[in-house]
Amino acid sequence: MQTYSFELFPNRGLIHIFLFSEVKNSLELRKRLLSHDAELSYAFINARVILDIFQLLIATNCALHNEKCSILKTHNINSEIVYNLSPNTNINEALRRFGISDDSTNIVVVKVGGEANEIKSHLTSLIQGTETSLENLFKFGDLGIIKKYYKVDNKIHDVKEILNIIVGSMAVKSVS
Amino acid sequence: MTENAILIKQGAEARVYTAPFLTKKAIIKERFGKAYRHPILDKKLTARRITQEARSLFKCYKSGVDTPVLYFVDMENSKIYMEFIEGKVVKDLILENKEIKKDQLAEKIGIAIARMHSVDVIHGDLTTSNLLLRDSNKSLVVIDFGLSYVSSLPEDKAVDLYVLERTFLSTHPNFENMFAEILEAYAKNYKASKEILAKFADVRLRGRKRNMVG
Ligand SMILES: Nc1ncnc2c1ncn2[C@@H]1O[C@H](COP(=O)(O)OP(=O)(O)O)[C@@H](O)[C@H]1O
Ligand SMILES: [Mg+2]
Repeated sequence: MQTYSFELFPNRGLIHIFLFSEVKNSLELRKRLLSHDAELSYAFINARVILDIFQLLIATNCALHNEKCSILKTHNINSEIVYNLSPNTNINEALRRFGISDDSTNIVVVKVGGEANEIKSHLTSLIQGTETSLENLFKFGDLGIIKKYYKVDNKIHDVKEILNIIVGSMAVKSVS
Repeated sequence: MTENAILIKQGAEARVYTAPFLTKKAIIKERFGKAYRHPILDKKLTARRITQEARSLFKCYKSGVDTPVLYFVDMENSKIYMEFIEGKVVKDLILENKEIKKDQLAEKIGIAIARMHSVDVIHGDLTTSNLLLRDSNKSLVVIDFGLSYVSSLPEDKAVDLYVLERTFLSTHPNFENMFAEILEAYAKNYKASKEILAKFADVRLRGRKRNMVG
């Protein structure tokens, strides 16, 4: 787990990010998410579309901004985080591509606010999987899918450059 | 604004700050209106500038022009968050005239403009104050896209070049040959440059005539 404070939203508490691998109950989790189960107040993200933690921070920052300005495009802060990972404005597509699917085995969880240990024990009871260090994040990213979703030119191989394009395409969405 | 923001430039239409942002050091560019303009028109104009700046920054970066990475656009507060470039302003580098390789610098500038124009981005304020050189890898970075727009017209691209030439004439009068080298690199690296350079000669001529009259 890693914890971050967001400069622009000091009153919103800390942001906690978890990584789970070998997850076995994604199907169940997704069903509960679809039925708006209040116990699952987290952003559940498919780890294969994540290249770097900064990508998650940018999406979360954008979601917090939309919440503060009352311009959420989706129904809550959690779906807004998932939505903001996408470079496109199509909400269904964003949730399908960046949220978890029935067969996801590696999952990133973002939680805005709350106390780290409580969140951790709650997540461990919800998710049938192994919590692992976020340093392993890059192992679960699928560069081919990531480049496709963010429309990164195939000629570009430098990971830093790919990340910069990902971040830019998320940021430019608000003026597209 | 975040508490730790430091104002580094107060301009006529924008304030530029540095501030920590999500584990990085960022530049925050805040646009503000002009008191004499009609408030609604003014708001629209500010919004358009921010939109243009954000779009062009991203479009150029994607097309292989080194620009600051776009982090976040806060339309509600008229702010753009972007990568802070550790580097030096090209204007200062030339004015100091110390240990810089002028021919290499000119080539980098020419290539950057060629790439930018090849994706039809017109910068709109191409001066040596809006070009930086990264400390780390000496890459040339183009900044300040607030007056940029999209156009495929050779005339618009020619005017972009002309603005830069005027900067050399007024700010760096002893470095006119450097501008010639920039043009040379531009021509070499941009297939469609022939027509633009012909237009550039026209624009230049018109400029001279105007100067003689006025
Ligand atoms: N991304 C950046 N990284 C580092 N310095 C920057 C960056 N953006 C702007 N600056 C500094 O701030 C100055 C003003 O920024 P600029 O975008 O050119 O605004 P203005 O419209 O006021 O000219 C630049 O000349 C440069 O010194
Ligand atoms: Mg400037």
